[in-house]
Amino acid sequence: MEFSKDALDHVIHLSHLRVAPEKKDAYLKQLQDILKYMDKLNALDLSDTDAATHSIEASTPLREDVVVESGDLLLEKNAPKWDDHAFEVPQILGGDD
Amino acid sequence: MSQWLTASLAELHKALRSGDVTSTELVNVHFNQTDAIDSSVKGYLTLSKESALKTAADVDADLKAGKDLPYLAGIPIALKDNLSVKNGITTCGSQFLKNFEAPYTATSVQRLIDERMPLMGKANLDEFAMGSSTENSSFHTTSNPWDLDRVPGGSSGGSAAVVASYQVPVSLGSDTGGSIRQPAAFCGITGLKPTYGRVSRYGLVAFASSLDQIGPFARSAEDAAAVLNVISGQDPADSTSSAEPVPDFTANLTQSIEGLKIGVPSVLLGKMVSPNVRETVLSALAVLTDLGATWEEVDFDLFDYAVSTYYILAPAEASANLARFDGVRYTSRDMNAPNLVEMYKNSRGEGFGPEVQRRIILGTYVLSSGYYDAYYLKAQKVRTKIKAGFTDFFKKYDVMITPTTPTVAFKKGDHASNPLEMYLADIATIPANMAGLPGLSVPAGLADDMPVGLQILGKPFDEETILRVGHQFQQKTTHHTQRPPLEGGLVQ
Amino acid sequence: MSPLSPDTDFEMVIGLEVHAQLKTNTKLFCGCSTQFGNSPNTNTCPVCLGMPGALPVLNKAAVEMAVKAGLALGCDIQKTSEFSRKNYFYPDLPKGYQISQFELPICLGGQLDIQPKAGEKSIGITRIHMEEDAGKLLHQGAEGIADSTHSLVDLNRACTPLIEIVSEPDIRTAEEAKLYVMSLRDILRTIGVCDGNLEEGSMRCDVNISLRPRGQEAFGTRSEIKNVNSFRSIERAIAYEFKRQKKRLLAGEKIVQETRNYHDDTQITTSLRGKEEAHDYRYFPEPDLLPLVISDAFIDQQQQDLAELPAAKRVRYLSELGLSEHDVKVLIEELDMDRYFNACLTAKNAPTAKAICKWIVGDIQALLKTRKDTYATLKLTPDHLAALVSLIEKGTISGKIAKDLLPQLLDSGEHPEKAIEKAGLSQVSNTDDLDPIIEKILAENPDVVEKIRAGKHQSANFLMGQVMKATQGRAKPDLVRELILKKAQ
Repeated sequence: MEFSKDALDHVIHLSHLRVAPEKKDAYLKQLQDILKYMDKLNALDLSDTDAATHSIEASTPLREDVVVESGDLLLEKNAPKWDDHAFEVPQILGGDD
Repeated sequence: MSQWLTASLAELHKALRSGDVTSTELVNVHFNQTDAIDSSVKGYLTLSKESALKTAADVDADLKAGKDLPYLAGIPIALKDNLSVKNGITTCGSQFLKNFEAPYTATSVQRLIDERMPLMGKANLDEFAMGSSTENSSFHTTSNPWDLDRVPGGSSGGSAAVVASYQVPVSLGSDTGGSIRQPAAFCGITGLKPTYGRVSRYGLVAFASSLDQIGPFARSAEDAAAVLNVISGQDPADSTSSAEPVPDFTANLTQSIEGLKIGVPSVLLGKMVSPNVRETVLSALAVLTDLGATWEEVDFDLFDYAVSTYYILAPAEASANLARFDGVRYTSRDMNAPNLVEMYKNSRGEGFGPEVQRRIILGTYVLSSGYYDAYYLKAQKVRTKIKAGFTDFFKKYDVMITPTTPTVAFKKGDHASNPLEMYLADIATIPANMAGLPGLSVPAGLADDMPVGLQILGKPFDEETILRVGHQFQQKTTHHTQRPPLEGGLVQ
Repeated sequence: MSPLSPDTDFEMVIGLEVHAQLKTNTKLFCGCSTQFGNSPNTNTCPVCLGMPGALPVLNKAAVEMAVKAGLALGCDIQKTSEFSRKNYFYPDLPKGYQISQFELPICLGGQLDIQPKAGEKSIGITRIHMEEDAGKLLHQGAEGIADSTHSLVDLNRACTPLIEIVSEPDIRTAEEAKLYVMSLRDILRTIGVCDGNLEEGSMRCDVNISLRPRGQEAFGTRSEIKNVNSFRSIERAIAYEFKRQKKRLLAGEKIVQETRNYHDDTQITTSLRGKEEAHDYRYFPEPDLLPLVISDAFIDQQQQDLAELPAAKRVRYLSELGLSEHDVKVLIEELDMDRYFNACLTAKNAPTAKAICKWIVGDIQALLKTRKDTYATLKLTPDHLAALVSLIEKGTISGKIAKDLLPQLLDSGEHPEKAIEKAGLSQVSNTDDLDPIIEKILAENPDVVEKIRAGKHQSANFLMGQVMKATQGRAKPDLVRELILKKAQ
C-alpha cells in the first residue's frame, strides 16, 4: 500500500493542520519510508490473536456521583480570546470544508 | 559546598537531619551549579528559584523546630516540562503552549510537594515528548554533559542532563518508548520507567496514553528507588493507575542476586548493536555473573516487530491526544483567521513542530477509514503477542538485560532528516512500554568516552528486583559515579 | 430501475436514535455538577475542559442508570463494554474527541412495545451506549449559526452523561415513531434515569427515515433528521420527509444518504451536507479508561432497584385498582403525583385507590397548579389526604365540605380530623339534631310538602337545599332526604 500524495492531503485535512508545500514533500517521503517499514508486521500470523489496547488487565474504576468543586481554572488568563465568561471562536461556517 | 552536589539522597537526608547542611543551602548550591553550567548544557526551560527557596526555608524551619518530616524533605528535584504544576508555565517543549499556565498540579508532582521537596525548575524535552534527542524541542536543544556536541537523548533529555551535570540530584521524566531509559543511558545516569499503572499519569500531558509512564532520573538505583517510593500508588484521578500495593522499594536493595536468572535477547547482542556497546554490556553481564547471577542468550524476535507496532500505536493515540490543542482554550491562536477551520489549521500548523506534525499525520492515517485494520488493529494484535512473549520469558527468567541503546549518544543533527533511523534506535526500549513492564537503565561503563546504558527489564510491578539488580551492580562498579568532563567542574 | 408509477404506495422505514441525558449529580467523567443555568464555564474542571494531562474517571451512577435503562428495555447487559474515542474537531468538543461506546456498548438487543391504533407492536432496540455530551455554542451577531460573526463556547454541558438508544428500523408510521418516543420517555422517567424533557434537550431525537414501495423487501436510501425536539416535531418532520422523499422518488431522482436538519418554525428539513466534512471519526478504544466490567451482582442490584415499568403499572392500575384509563395515563406521566398516590395507598386505614385517585387527579392537582405548589412541598401529607377521603367514605363529612376544606389544609398542614373538629364541620347524622330543623322547614313550605305528598319526590330537593343551608352543609344528604320524605307523608 503506497502512501499517496492524495492520502497525505486527506490526512492533513483530517488532522486540521496547515502544512507548507515544501514541507509536505518531505513528509510524504518520510512517511512512505516509515509505512514501508511497517510492512514487517505482515510476516506475523495474527489470525488467532486478540487486539490489546492496554498492557494491564483490570476493570475501569468507578467514581461515586459526588460533586467536586474546582478552584480557579485560569480560563480567562489562558484563553486566546475570552468574552462574557466564554471562549470566543471565529465564524464557524465558511473555510475550505 | 560542592560535596553536596555529588551526595546520595541518603547522605543528603542524613546531613539535613544532622544540621550539616540546610535545605536552603542545598537549593542554593544546585542553583549555583545551574548558573555556572546550564548556559552550555541548556537542560532547563524554566527555573523556579523563588518557590524552591520558599519550600527550602519552610523545611529548614520545621527541621529546626524538630518536626518529623518525610524522608526526602528539603532535597531538590527537577521536573520534565510536560508535568503540570498549578500556576506554573507548562510548555511541553512547544511554542504552542509557551504561555500556558496549568490550572492544576499533576498527582506525581503533588506527591513531591507533599514530600516537601523543593521543585527547582522545568527541564527541556522534545516537543510533546516526541523524539529521542531534545532536538525537537521548539525552544532549544539540550547538550549532553559528556560531549556538548552530542544529544542528551530524549525525550526527557533535559531531565537527564540536569542530573548528569549535577544541577539537581534527582528529576522526573516520562517514558513512552524509552524516553527515560535512553537519555539516562546517553547521559551516564540511572533512569527508571516503572510498570504502567504504578505512577499516576494525571497531570502528565499525554503523548500515548496506554504507554506513557512517569519515572525518576537519579545517580543510583538506590536514589531512584527512594523517589519511586514517593510518586507510586493508585490515584483516583487516573483510571489506569494500579491498585497494586506499593512496597518500600529501598528495603530489599541489599539482598544478594545469587541465583538470579537473566535472559539476553540475541538480537540485542547482534549486529544492530555497535561493537563497543556490546563489549560494555558483556562486561556488565560478567559483573552480574560474579555476583552469582547466570545469563544466557534467548531468541526474542518480537523486538523486531516492536518498533513498527510502537510507531503505529503511539502516533494513533497521540493524534487524538493532541487534538485538544486547537487554539480555542489555552494554546496560541492565529488571531487573524477569518473562520473556524482556518483558525484550527493555521494555529495547529504554526503551533506544532515537524516531528509532532509527522506523528499526528501518521497516527491519523493508521486510524482512518480503510487503514484501521491494516495498521492500528494489526499493531494491537502484535502488542498482544509481545505481551505474551514477555509472559513466557518471565516464566523462565527473573530479568531481561539488554543494552539500553544500540549506540552511544549521537551527534546533534545526525538523524535530523531521517526520522525512521531515529525511530529504529528505540528498539531496545520500546518493548517494555508495549507490555507495560518496568525497566531500569544503569551506567555500564564508557565506550569512546561516552556512557553506555545497561537496561534491566522486570516482571510487571516487580520494580524491586530490577532496582536490586541495579543496586548490586552499582555496589560492585563505579560507572555511576563517573563524572562527565564538565567545563569548570563543580561549583564550590 | 423501472420508473415508479405515480400512485405507488410508499411505506416508511424509520429507525430512531434517542439521546437521553442521565439524571446524575455529576458529569460522566468528572466531578463537576450537571446543574443547568449557571453562568458559562463555571461547572467545569480540567477534565471536562480538556486541559492537557487531565484524565477521565467513570461515574458509577451513570453506569447504574445505563444498566437500568437496558433492563427496562429488555436488553442484554454486556459484562464487558468498552469506551472509544470518536474524533472530530468542533469548538464544543474540548478534547477533539468524544468519549463514546462504539464496538462494545453496554447494552445490546431489547424491545419496546407500543400501542398504535392498529394494535400493539414491538419495536426492536439495537443497542444502548453511553457517551459524553458536548458543550454549548452561543452564536453572536445573528439568530443562528448561519450569519453569525463569531461564537462563544460554554462548556458547562460538556461531559454530561448521555445514553443513546438506537432502535431497529421497525417503525413504519409517524404515529408509531411518536408513540415509541413517548413510551421510551415514560420508561426512562419512571425508572428515574432521565427527566425526559424534549424541549429542554434532556431527550434528543434523530430520525432515520427511508421509503420503499409497499411490499418491497429492500430498504431505500435513508436520510437522518436531526434537531427534532418535540413530539409534534417528530410527526411533522417525518411527514415532511415522507413528502420530500416521495417526490424525489417519483421524479426518478435518487435519495442522497445525508444528515438533514429539521426547522421547527418552517416545518421543513434542510441538508447539512457541505457543512459537515466527509466524516471519518477514526474510532479507537479509549486508552485512558480500562474496559468496563460489570458483575452479576451489580446487574442484580439494578434490577432490584428498578421501579415498576409503565406497562406493568398500567395493567395493575386498570385491573387491580380499577382506575380509569385517563387517571392511569396521568399517573404514569406525572411521577410525583404517582408517588404521592402510592404513599396515600399505604396510609393507615387507607380508603379505596379509586377514591384517592379521584381526589389527586382532580382537586389536588388543580390546587397545586393554581397555587404553583408541588408535591415535594405540599403540606397535605399522603396520610392526611387518605384520612380526609376516609372521612368522606365514612360519611363524617360530605365531599363538598372536604373540597371547601382543602385549601385550608394545604395552607396549614393540619390533620383533617382536627380541622374538621375545630370548625365543627362534621356531618350532622343524628336524627334528633335534624328533626327540629326539618320540621321547621316543612312548616315554612307547605306547598312543597303538598307536591311531595302528590308523589313529586323530586320536589324534596328544594327542601334538602334549605336544610343543607340551615346546617351549613353539614347534614348528611341521604339522611336528610329520607327524613323529609318520611315527615312529608
